Amino acid sequence: MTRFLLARTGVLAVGWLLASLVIFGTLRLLPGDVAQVIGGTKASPERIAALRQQLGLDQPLLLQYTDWIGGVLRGDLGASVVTGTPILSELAEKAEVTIPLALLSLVIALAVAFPMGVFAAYRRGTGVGQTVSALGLVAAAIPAVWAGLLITIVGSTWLGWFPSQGFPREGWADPGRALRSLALPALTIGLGEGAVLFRFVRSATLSALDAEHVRTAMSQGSTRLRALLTQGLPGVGLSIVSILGLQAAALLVGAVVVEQLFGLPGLGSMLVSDVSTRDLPKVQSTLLVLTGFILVIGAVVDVVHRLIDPRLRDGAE
Amino acid sequence: MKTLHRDSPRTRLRGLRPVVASFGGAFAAAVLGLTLLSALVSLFWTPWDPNSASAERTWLGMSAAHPLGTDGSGRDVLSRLMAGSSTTIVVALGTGVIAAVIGLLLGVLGGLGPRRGRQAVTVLIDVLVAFPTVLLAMMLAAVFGSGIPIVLVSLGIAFGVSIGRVLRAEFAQVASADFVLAARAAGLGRGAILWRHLIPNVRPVFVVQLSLSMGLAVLAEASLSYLGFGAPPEVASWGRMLSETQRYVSIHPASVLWPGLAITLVVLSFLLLGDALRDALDRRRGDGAPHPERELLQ
Repeated sequence: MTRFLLARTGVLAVGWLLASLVIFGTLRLLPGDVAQVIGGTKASPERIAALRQQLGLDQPLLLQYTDWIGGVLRGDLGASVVTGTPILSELAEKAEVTIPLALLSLVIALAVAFPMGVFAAYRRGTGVGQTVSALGLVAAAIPAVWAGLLITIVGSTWLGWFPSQGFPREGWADPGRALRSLALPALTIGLGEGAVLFRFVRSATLSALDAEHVRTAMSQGSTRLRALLTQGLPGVGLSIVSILGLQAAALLVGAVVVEQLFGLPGLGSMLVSDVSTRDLPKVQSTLLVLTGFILVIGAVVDVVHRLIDPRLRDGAE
Repeated sequence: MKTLHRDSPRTRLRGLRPVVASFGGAFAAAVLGLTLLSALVSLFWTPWDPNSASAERTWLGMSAAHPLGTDGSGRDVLSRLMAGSSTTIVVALGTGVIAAVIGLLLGVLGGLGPRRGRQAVTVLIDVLVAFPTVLLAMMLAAVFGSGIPIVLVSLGIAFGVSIGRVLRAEFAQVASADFVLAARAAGLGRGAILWRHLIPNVRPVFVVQLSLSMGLAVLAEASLSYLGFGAPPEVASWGRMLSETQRYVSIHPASVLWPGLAITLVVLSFLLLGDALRDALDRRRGDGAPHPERELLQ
């Protein structure tokens, strides 16, 4: 296990470094002068020169890169060129919206996908089972923006249960209000991700039903349902855990669109506005934090998977 | 001898008949065919000019003159849907081509290349997977500005990496099969083995992945156009149409119906086409259960 942990951490570190090179490299491919782009075409030469110095663009590329990474490792992500505020504190503030949103969405996705996926597989070949499967497929094809608009029409315009836009200014001071404003956005992401997860749970359950240990349990007198619940589902659960890492990326993408749609002040809408205003240093650091986050979740999921899956324990290979 | 191994074009077409025979496959073929047709027709003719606005014709209901009504600027919804279908076709096909090239390259290098090459591709894929499609597209939009070409390139890269991830494992698995060993023992060269034995065996998985990627590309274009990084205002796109309805959603809820429905039907068709192709092509996994990896393209 220690060896596995060390190796996985090594892969994580290399992956993150490579990701930083990809981000830095791409944002430096910019045709023309970064300072000119940020300053705009009407900026005076003095302003451009000041920007160049402020951004360190007069330094060689390698030095710019090491300065950036060195700062990041010390916890200094730099400052926005548009507002001048430190990037780290703003990221932390926006994460207070995005992380609860992502967690809530994940809970909804699992709560929808797991029971329905198992049911659709268990009732394979029957009308009900096929209807549920077809619904899952259609749901996976619905664009997030459309789902969000439809959910707004039902949950806000017609029923009036939840606000359709915004997040309370005072944040989590009033948890009930904050949660209510996250309800429709989380439902939008959760149902979309749930549809993807559903197809996965269904196929994992189908293979579990055909697996030898489940069939053995049935041959020993266990009913099909009982055999599935006691022998099959643990394996299904484990295979779901193993893909949760990839889901982190999907949740983040969902958050970008849905935060914009529901006017939530989270990381997603921040990134959209930073890209629009060409706040490149901020986009660069934000992307590094987000990809790092996705890589870390992938690594944590791998470790957890190895801890709880007896087939992967040391010596079992 | 050669003719014995190769399918003639006719038998190849006949092999596709089971795709259309299933309900899902027939549905997919009908929707995608209609979309392609409407895209082609829209190049020469649409009932109205899709971009001509008129203050007198806003929010008209369905009528003989405007079968699907008009939008908040008085533009004909059917004409805009038709014009938007060509954008959808360009996005799906363009992303498909780029993703196919990248996916095959990564798959061959990562599954069959020299040891060092395989490891490098593995790490590269793991890193690139951490850049979700939409984030990658936004990163490129920050540098090069937004537009359909940027959408194609970024989605092509993102889905190409996903396809490469799956193909790498498939190639590695097929390469260790006995018939490949036999072919090598019989003195067949590397290129010949790749072309005659490896690629045909990986083809079902590849085709399914590609179909799935094209569907997800249409979904991603809708998101990107909504965020303002996709189709520019003068280009008709279903994603853009959908995002334009948001402002009026509480007054004219019905306006969100058509563009959303069009996107959903096309994406659903690509998903169904993937399933139908898998069932028709895949001789190794005939159980109808989706392969776990295929479900995870994002």
